[in-house]
Amino acid sequence: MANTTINCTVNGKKYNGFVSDYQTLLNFLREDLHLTGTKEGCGVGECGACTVLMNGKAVNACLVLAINADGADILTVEGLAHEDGTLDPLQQAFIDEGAIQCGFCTPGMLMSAKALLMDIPHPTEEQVRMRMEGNLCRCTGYMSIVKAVLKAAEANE
Amino acid sequence: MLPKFNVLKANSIKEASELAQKYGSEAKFYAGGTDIFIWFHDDVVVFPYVISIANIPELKGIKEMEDGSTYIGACETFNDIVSNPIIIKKYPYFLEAMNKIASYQVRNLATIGGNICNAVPSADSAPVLLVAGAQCLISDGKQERTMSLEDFITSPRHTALQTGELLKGFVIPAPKAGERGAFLKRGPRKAMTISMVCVASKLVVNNGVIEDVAIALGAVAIKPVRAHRAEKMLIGQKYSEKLIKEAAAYAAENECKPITDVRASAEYRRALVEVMTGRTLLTCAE
Repeated sequence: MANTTINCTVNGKKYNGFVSDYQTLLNFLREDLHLTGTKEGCGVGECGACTVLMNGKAVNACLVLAINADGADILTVEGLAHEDGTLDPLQQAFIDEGAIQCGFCTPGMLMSAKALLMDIPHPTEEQVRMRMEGNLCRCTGYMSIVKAVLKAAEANE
Repeated sequence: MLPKFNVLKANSIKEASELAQKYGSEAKFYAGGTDIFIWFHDDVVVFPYVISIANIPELKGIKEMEDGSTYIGACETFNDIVSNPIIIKKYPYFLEAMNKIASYQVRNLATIGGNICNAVPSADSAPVLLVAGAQCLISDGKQERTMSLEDFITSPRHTALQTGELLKGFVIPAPKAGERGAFLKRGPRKAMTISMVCVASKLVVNNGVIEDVAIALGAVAIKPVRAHRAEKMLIGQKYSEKLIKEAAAYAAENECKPITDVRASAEYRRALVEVMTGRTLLTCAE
């Protein structure tokens, strides 16, 4: 099986990777870069736990081949907080609103919400629900999650 | 983890076509990968080779043609289509369908050509494209041919494409004056769901007379279908809610062959066709 060198930027840092054709972006992030914040839930694009931003767009990392991330700019949950440890307003809002139960869906929820707020700084509740439709929370903490996203949006100018 | 396979990157339709001919049944095209890698993951089917066509410039682009028709490249993603000003202006009902396919993340990857080439009866983009009268542009890099979408999908997971041919894009006829379209889908849940039934309708009513109508039904036959005979009941007739309901009942009774499966029973699907056909047509007339 062919191995290919890829160059990509992850959370602002440049990486060279040596990946198999059949390796997913999710596997590359977790196993090669040890960025285990991005979770594998279903592996088939249904749960959204593996959501990352690729060139500013939310995608399921389990459905993207690592070789297709060549040249891409990737943002994972590890890249949300500032370098000094200050949390992203979304992360803070999730804490403040108690929008976390078991936490497994949280990285994906945060990344979907991040993509939403980048596109629509002040979304309506319906827009939040629609844009987060691809993120499942098995603890069913949806109410708090929606509240947290709306709260984070309030901080936007 | 996905099972092992090799990726072959194509930079042009000609290259993709040559690779497909060389590897035959060992290879499959992929663009967004949101269907094929799920089959691989779930061990439904695994091809030793996949041919990447996502970065072929000839498969991209949304543009208005001189005759008022619109061209949509096969590798345009659903999110790119629903945010395109031409589509929003000319075919607003496309958004109703294409914003309901899978999830936002999937729609950033999944392409319209992939949805059609997968050729499943429940493909949500098919009914709106059918009522719009979409023509499929097929190319092998040397020659091109066109075919109506109605003929392009032949049976579940099968299309009219020959080995080495690619679906290059769609030509959507210019909307008629006063044309209105509507789409409805019903799944086991509201979001991120596969249609039990989906219906698209298009209607032109002028001075109370139905000048043009199209109805397309998804997930209730071996492929997405137009309800031509129900359309004939309506065309040229004076518009009335009663007539719409009669045509909807006719479509449910005579123009679909729903099956019972894990998502819904045949009886429920037939009932949905009647209600949803009626509702989409009434919405068009509002």
